[in-house]
Amino acid sequence: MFHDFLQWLQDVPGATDGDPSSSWSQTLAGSLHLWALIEGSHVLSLMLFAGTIFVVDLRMLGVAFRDVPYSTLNNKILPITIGGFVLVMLTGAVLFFSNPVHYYHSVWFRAKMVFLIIAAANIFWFHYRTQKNLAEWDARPSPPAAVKIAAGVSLASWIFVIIFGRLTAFLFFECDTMPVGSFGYAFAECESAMREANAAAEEFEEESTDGEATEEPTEEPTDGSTEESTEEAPAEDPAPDAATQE
Amino acid sequence: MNFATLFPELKPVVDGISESGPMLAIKSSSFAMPMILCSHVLALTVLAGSILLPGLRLMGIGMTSVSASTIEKTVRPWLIGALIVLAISGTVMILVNPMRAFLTPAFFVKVIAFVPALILSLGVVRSIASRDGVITERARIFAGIAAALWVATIWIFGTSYYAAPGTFHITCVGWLIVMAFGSNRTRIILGAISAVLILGLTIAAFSGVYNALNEYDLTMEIDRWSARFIALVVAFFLVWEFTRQRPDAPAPTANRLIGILTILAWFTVAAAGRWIGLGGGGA
Repeated sequence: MFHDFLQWLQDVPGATDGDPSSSWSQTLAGSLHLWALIEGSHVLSLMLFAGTIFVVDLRMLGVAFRDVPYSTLNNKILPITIGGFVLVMLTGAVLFFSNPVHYYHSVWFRAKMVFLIIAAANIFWFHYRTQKNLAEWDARPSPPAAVKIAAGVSLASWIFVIIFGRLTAFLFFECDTMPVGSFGYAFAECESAMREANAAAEEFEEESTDGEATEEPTEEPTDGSTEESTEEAPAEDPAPDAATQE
Repeated sequence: MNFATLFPELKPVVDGISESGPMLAIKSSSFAMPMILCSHVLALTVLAGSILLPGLRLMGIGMTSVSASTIEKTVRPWLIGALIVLAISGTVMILVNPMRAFLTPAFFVKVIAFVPALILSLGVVRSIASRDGVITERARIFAGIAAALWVATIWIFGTSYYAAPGTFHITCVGWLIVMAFGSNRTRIILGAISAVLILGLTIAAFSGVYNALNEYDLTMEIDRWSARFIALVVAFFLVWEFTRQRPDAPAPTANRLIGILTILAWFTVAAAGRWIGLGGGGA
């Protein structure tokens, strides 16, 4: 269901004369500078967000700013963290829009989402449960174990979110390279991605065969022609230059 | 401007580096480069935290109940650690694909952007913070040199064909500083100007009068003059807001400017670095 919606989002809105390559999504993905500006903004916003949340986590672990009450640090730093998070989410949403089907079926993107959910759940748990007795440990250089665990989970989750987010740009463990039935294949819902790719490939192959059949009297088909057609069948658009990006 | 035009005689050396044994081993591994890139991004986030806290404290913002010297001393190991990781991972990234670094103007910008950023963080900010806000004559001179170098860096960044759009990130950082920490009146004025500009450019684009994102087939080229105009507007408000003598100013003007400059200088390094991979290469 999501696959179909994202395929529509990628191909239809903004498309002129039914040409998917002219849709807003694909125009953004193929843009010379706009995509790069948004991607760069995503990384710089991430610096703002993660750079400040790590400071709060380290205080909760009792590693840094041990003499500063947690609430003092949190009240001053949190607005910057929230601002950074809003920017990361906005730029991230636009980047997702530029290639939704690819990201949806990316193992790394899904792993990133899992850790994003863990980080969010940890924030809610900390806010509504652990932080209730804040007055007791606010000024303590070494907060209680529950606070340290929440900080550890937060730190680890965000590190994994960053790592998996970075790996999303790479084109390994893609649906068309993973063995059918493997964990990665199931985790990335490759079935729906490959069904469409295979159907398109078959359709393309049939068209090629028909063409060859009609042209047979005048043109000798070569063995390589079928292979080439299959390779060229439209499957998934890879992230723009993703594998080569720094 | 890039290293290829400045040092063309180095080309054979650069050619040889990527074909050396260790670099070939890294290139042939599926996970080596991704892991190096991940460590680079993680180090960037640590770097951001360790420059933002002292920078904001010098501006009289953030943890004002904690002395500047305590903040600087606490984050100094993070800063140095992050710089070491960035230097190692960055060097490997360059050596694996040295021709890109040799040709890309963004890499040249990144290298020269490091100079003012390092002068500010490891010299000027450290000096001011250790004296809890007092600026020595030497720190003032070095801050002036760093400011001049940063302006020169921005000039080169903004006039390099493949890297120029990256300066828009610096404009955004400046805009965010004004909108987050400026006075209410300045925020309202800049906010209104930004809204009018965005709305105006959008209406102009949709009505076919003028498109700041000119379309060439499936590509978009950011109009440099619009970007420069917006940069000048933000620069004006940044200077106007943080150099005004106000009785309620949370920190001396020089300290505030040095705090802002340090943040901008490091974000320039990061933006230029990001653009090495994004903007392509060329003369």
